[in-house]
Amino acid sequence: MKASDTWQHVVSVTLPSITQSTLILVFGTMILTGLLGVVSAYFVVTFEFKFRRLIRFLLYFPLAIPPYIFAYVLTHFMGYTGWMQTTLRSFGIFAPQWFEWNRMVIAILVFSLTLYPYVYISTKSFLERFMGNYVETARTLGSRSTGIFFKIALPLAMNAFIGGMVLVALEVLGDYGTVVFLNVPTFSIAIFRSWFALRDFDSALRLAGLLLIIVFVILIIEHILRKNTKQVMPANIRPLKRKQMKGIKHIAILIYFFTIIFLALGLPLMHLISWAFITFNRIYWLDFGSQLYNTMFLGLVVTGSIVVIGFIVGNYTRLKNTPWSVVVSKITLLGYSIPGSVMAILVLFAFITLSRQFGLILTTGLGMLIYGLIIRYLGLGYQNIEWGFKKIGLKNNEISQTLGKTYLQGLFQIEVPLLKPSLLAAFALVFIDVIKELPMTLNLRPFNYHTLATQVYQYAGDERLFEAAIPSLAIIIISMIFLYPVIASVNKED
Amino acid sequence: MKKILIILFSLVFVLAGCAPTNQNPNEQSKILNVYSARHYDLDKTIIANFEAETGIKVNVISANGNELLERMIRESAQPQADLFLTVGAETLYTALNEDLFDVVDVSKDKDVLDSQYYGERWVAYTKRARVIVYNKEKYPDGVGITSYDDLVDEKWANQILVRSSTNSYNIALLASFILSNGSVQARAWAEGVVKNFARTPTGNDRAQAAAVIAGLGDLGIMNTYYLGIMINSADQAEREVAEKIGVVIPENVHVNISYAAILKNATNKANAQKFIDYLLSVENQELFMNGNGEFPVRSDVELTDLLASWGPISPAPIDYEKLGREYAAALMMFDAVKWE
Repeated sequence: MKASDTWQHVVSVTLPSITQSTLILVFGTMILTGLLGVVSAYFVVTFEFKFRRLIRFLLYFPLAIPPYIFAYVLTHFMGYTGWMQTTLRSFGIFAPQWFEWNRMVIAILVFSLTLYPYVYISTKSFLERFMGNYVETARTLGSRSTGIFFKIALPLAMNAFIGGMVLVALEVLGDYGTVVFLNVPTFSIAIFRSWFALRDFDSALRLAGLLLIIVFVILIIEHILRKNTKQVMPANIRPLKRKQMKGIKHIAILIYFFTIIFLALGLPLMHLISWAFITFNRIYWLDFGSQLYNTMFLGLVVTGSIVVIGFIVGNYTRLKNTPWSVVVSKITLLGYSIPGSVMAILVLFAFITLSRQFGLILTTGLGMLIYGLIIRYLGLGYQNIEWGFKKIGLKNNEISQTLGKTYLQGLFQIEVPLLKPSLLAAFALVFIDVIKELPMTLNLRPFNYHTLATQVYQYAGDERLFEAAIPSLAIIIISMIFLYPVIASVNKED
Repeated sequence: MKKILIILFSLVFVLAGCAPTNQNPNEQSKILNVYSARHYDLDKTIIANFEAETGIKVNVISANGNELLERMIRESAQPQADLFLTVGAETLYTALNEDLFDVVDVSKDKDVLDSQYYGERWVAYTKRARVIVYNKEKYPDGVGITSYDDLVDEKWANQILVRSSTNSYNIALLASFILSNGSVQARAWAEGVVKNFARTPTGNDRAQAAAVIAGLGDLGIMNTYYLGIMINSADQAEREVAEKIGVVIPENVHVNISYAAILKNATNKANAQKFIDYLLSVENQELFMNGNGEFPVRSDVELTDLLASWGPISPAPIDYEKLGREYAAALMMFDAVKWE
């Protein structure tokens, strides 16, 4: 009786509002990240302007900042005790109402500024390779920049663009820490709430089902859209000669990039570094050491496993190009879009049941957490590796076979080096997602096991943002270090 | 080479998956496994001190209280923890219904404990109160509020600042109203407060205090212990806020407890009991006060000046064992009255 009462409540009161919020959040973020990603990529590839090399490099780094940390910083920055209002007050300006922004706006900003690199990365690398041929022709035929952007660049990059956007959508749908902090009601939160606060497992399961349907729809739309865009690979790739910016256009571009980099990188880093100095003495440094070790160990083991598994599955599906391969590919993505909070509990219960069946204690070791993280992030790694396999095709291996090598020799001696960029990208992107992960790490970890992320969460939950700065910075710096080789290899053309 | 790698790889998995088995119930064990929903640095210190004094190694998994509750229910045949520590009494109702806890012995400290704060199978070890705050500079003579009901008064239209209804402190507050006054009155109260909102709930408890000082509203609802922490904050601006805040402890104030319980079928029950006794000791009760701004449960511990300055506490007579029963109803009521 109670279960249906709760479900009634969920359907009539909760469902409309979370559906609306979730859709607004996802689409709002997709629009803003789409704009930021594509426009930035286009400018960086097509035009020559001062600091171009530095800018195109820095544009990647916001990916290293976990959205929930960015949310903590942004909220504090705009709050009463933050820099904005404190500085204004010192000038005698007392206007806290100006900073009471709509939570949804803040959430969209937070996600967009930390996730736009997904779109930037995929669009930029594609444009760099293939725009040269078409733009030169278009320019000689008299096309202006805007024409080139809308009629050539955008359609060309659509495939890569859509891929990046879908990743963004899935990240937003699967997030829990950020939306809980900003109090934006989404499916992720509603599932969690039904399960634990309302203690209604059935309602939670139905909501999770609805979420998966939304994810399915997104993936199907993505598949259709990408199938219809032709992959035009020109025979000779001409490097694009960039057009030098002058005058007011030059200044405008610089202002555009400065604003993005300041907001997405400068602001959070300045806050965190200054807070780190203030709380230097309040940190338990021994704990920090073990958290750092755990974070690295977990990250490397999970990511390594995912890359290996992704490679094996990717190799298999490219050989047997059946509809089944498409299904496999999309299923791995499902794990990525199930909110970590939900996945955590599912894994936990599965392991408890297994423990009972086999009389073992499987729930207090590290294996459960490793297993959960692999399922969750396999899709992210697999996407990159699959795309890498598609790019190189089978021809290299076929050629090597005519020269006497076996398939496996061809695979490891010739194709793996060609796949290096995708493998690197898969490794980096998965690694930085794993080390910042929260709900699964919190729920599936062994006794006394802390990572940098769980420590950040503990301090933030305790409303001690300043103390959270040092572990936050550690996560960000490590992520940047792992991103660097990917960025360097992608940019080495120039 | 590949084969060696594969074997090594699988070995890592197997090793990582195995847990050290330290469950030998026949020995006088030196282990205590704890599930804790409390996440304060102070608790770390207390645990470290306990380990040093008793030689018992304490292993902790911290997670959200409701998640730990689910975990304990599922593991009840083979509990992996001995002791459960949590903030808020909401989990108690379900835990007792699911028969998760064993009897706890409070005979040592019974004389200094109020009977409202312990039961056969649980004992509260700290308290906080959910109070009303205001700006002392704007209202030097106070705000003339004596109870939570005063908050629905029309004169406070657009003046009330409080955090989201998704927070457990608010849910517990409303649940206690449903329990003691019934749904109709509780809902009328919630509606009245929502009508007087200064803004859609944003931020945590401390943000409400800051917003009060910022002039975004005249009254805020928050927990006492944050004030104790804000006074010592690393953030100067936050310290200034704490100094300007005035506190009203309403009559029948809602007291939020942190409780401890020993799990049934636990392996190290004696150690769990030892730890509970330790938490209730005078020195640790004082530590909770000084380190975390929480109220002690022992009547023989003198309040610090700061805590005493907030005024006398006459707590609402809540049956903590039943509070969780109305938790879901409170959540849904918040949704219904649009307290976001």
